[in-house]
Amino acid sequence: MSVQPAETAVVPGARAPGTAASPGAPHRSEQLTVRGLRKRYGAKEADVLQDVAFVLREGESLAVIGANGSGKSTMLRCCLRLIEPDTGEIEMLGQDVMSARERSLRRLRAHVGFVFQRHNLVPRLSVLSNVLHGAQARAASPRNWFQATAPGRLRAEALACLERVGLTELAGRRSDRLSGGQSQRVAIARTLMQRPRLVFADEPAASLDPTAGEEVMELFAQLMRDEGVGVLFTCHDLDHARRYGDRVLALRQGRVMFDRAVGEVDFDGLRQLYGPVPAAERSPREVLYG
Amino acid sequence: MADPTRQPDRRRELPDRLPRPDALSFTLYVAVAAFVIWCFQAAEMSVSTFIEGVPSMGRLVSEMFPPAFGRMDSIGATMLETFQMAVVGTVLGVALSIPFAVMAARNQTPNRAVYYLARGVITFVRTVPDLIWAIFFVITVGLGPFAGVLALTVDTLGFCARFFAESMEEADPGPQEALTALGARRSGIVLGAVLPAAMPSMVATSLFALEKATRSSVVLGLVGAGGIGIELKAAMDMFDYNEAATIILSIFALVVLVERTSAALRARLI
Ligand SMILES: Nc1ncnc2c1ncn2[C@@H]1O[C@H](COP(=O)(O)OP(=O)(O)OP(=O)(O)O)[C@@H](O)[C@H]1O
Ligand SMILES: [Mg+2]
Repeated sequence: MSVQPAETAVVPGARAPGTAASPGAPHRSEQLTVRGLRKRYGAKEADVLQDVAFVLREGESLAVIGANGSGKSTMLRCCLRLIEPDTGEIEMLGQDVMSARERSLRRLRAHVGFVFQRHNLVPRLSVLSNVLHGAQARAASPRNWFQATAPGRLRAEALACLERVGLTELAGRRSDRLSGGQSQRVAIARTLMQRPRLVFADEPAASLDPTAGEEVMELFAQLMRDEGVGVLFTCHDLDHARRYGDRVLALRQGRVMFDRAVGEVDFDGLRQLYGPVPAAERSPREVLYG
Repeated sequence: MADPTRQPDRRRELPDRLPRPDALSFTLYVAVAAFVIWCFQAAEMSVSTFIEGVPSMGRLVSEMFPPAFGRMDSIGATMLETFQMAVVGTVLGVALSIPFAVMAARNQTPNRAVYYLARGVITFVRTVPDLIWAIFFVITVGLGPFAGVLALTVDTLGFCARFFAESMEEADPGPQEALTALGARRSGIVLGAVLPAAMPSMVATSLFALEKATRSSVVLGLVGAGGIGIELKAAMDMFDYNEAATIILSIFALVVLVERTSAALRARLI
């Protein structure tokens, strides 16, 4: 995001940072460093990721683009070892991910938010319980995970997270009775409850209408500005990549095609990355929203 | 240009109405048919014996009328005890089933060995009939309702754990992955994402288990494991068919009541 700290106050809905990390600090340390990442799903299959390398710095956003099946989701999951990579070096928040044992891996994941294309909220539980789940790693007792039993302190914190995504009035609603946009914002509130230092988002706006998608992307932008959280997001909307990414990483068949600052990316030339799209195959999104 | 009447007859090209069995499946069909016929013979089926038995059936039924309601209060109390056994057995069995189901669900089990062990226990417990469990517990803990409750608990475990495990396996992996990604432990994932998703089907299964336990509980008394069964056996042994009729009618009433209530609850659940 090419937004200076000075602009923070002008953004509507921007709130004071909760846990203060100094935005615009002169020294931006690396939050995530990946080298030589390789993954294939089966012995007989082709490599899904080959020699992928990139760096994400504090308070920076990296937009990952690439055609369907180019390996974006796999890359994000591999960084947190939700999928076990075959080889590679991953250093996250100063820790070596590949050598981490189960316990330290859990502790590391606790600091990293992950927002999915499909919100992945737990159905049948209330919105507030879903947000409380974000604190599972630091509030280890099961009674902290449910709205009915959690102590007031955690409930208040969860409500504050909901307030930041503008959904306090839905706290008691069952999470399977929400619209797609509301669900995704609740998922972000759950991530906020983690007090994340780094956020991964896999096509967070892809199943939302343009307005809701914009709101979701804006929430990530705020999180970066206010708290210096690094954001790694994938998207198919090049406009989002241009406006919300500081850097753009393009994947093609599991290889990094380029990784450069957003100002140096020729977005019009990029459309070839996806091949020409005949009019008949235009997505409903394009047809509906131009 | 195409004249339909002049089109070649294509019926020969149609596939057979029934697939032709190959030699192996044909042999199998014949073997199964022969086996079933052999089973009928072994069961000593005899039309004449059955016809000879009809008059005594009629006599037995007529001797049951009118049902004797003299000891209704004592029968009622025992019926209540029977149902209470069923409730306790179901509650304990369901509670025990949850950890077993977690170990026996492919996507939740801590490791392969635990998985096969849990599956094995559940299969064993399920395949041994409830009356045999009742006999086992009568011998080990003595006569009375406690033996019956233990038998019902074990029987419910065999029934519920398997279905619970299946509904846990069917739970949407998305929320589970989300919780894994935010650093939750296995217990957090089970409690936070798997159980909420499996809950409706687990409640329905538990209600079925209660129906099953109610039906079982009425016969456990036959082997001395508490409940109405012992009363029925005593009445029959003493040729008190009028009272036996009352007991049978009470059993019928209880089972129908439980089944209806459970069905209504399950319908509301969906
Ligand atoms: N669990 C899996 N098992 C086997 N192959 C998989 C699995 N997940 C993904 N793949 C394969 O890996 C490749 C990359 O998939 P991935 O989901 O990472 O792509 P993507 O860039 O996220 O695509 P999209 O834009 O459609 O989300 C694809 O060819 C896919 O078929
Ligand atoms: Mg993807």
